[in-house]
Amino acid sequence: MEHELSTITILLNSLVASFTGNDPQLPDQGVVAWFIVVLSTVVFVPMSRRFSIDEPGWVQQMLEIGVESINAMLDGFIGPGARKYFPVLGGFAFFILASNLITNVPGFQPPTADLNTTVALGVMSFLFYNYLGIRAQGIGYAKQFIGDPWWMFPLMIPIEVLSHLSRPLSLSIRLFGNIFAEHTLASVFFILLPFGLPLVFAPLGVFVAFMQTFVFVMLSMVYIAGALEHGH
Amino acid sequence: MSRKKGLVALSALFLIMVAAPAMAAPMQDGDLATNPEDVKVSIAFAAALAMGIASGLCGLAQGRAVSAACEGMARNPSAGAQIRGSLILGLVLIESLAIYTLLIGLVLLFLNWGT
Repeated sequence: MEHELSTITILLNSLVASFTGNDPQLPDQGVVAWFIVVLSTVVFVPMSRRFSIDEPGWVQQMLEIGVESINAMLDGFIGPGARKYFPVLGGFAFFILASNLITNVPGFQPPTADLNTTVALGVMSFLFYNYLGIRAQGIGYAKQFIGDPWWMFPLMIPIEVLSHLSRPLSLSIRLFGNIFAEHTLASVFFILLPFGLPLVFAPLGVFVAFMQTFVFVMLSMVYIAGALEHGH
Repeated sequence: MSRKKGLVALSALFLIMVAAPAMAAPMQDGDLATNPEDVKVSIAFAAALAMGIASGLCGLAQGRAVSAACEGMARNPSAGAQIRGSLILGLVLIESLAIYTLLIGLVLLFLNWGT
C-alpha cells in the first residue's frame, strides 16, 4: 500500500530539488506536523495579544471553552494546583486534535496516521509524568516499584515495570490505530464509491478525532495523578 | 443440564482437535513447510479470524458498558455528566484492544513474509 504524500510535502520536495538538484524525500508526517506548529504559532500568538478580558470576541470565547474544559479535567483528576501543567497538556490536546482533523482539509495526510508521531507523543507523555514524579518525590518515587511489604519486591518489580512500560506503548498504538484505520477506511470507501459514501464517514472521523484527543489527554492526566499521589 | 451440556461440548472439542491434523496437506519428502501460497493463505485467514474474534468480543464488552451506563444514568440523572465521562473512557479503552488486534492484522497483511 503506497504511502500518499501531502501537497505541502510535494511542494517542499520540489522546492528543495530546484535549489539543490536532488529530491530530499522529506518525511510526510514531519512536514505536516511542523506545518501545524508553525501555522498555529503564526495565527495564535498575534491573536492572543489582542484578547481582552471585558469584551471577548467569538474566537476568544471558543478558545476559552477549550481551555476551561482542559482545566476542569486537570482539577478533577489531579487536584488543586494542577493548572500549572496546562501548557504541556493543552499543547498535547491541541496538537493531537489538529493533527487528527487536518485529514479533512483536502491535500493533507494526518501526521498521527504514522507511528513515528504517535510514538513520539507517547514517549513525551511518559517522560513528562516520570519527570513530575521524580521532581515531586525524589528517589522515593521508586518506592512504588517495591510494594507494601518490602519482601514482595521480586514479584512487584517486574509487574510494575511492565505496566509502566506498557503505558506509552498503549497510548501511541491506540492513537495510531484509530487514526490510521479511520483514514484508510475513508480512502478505501472513496475508491469504492466516490459520491456519498465518504460523506457518511466524515462525521465519524471527526468524532474519532475528538475522542482520541480526549482519551490521550485524560490518560496522561491519570498517569500524572498516579505519579504525584504516591506519598503525598 | 449445564453440566451435561458442558461435557458434550468438551468431548466435541476434543474430537475436533484430534481430527484436525487429517486436514493437513500431505507433504512430500524434502518439501519445505514454507510454501509461499500456503503462507499467504494462512496469513489472510489468521488476520481475518483474529479481527473477527476481537471485534465480536469488543462489541459484547462495549454493549455491557453502555447498558450499565444507561442504567446508572436512569437511576441517578444528576450524576449524568460523570457517568458519561466514565463511559467514554471505558469505551475507548475497550476499543483500543480491538485496535491492537487490527494493528497485528495490518502487520501480518502488509509485510512480505519470506516469499
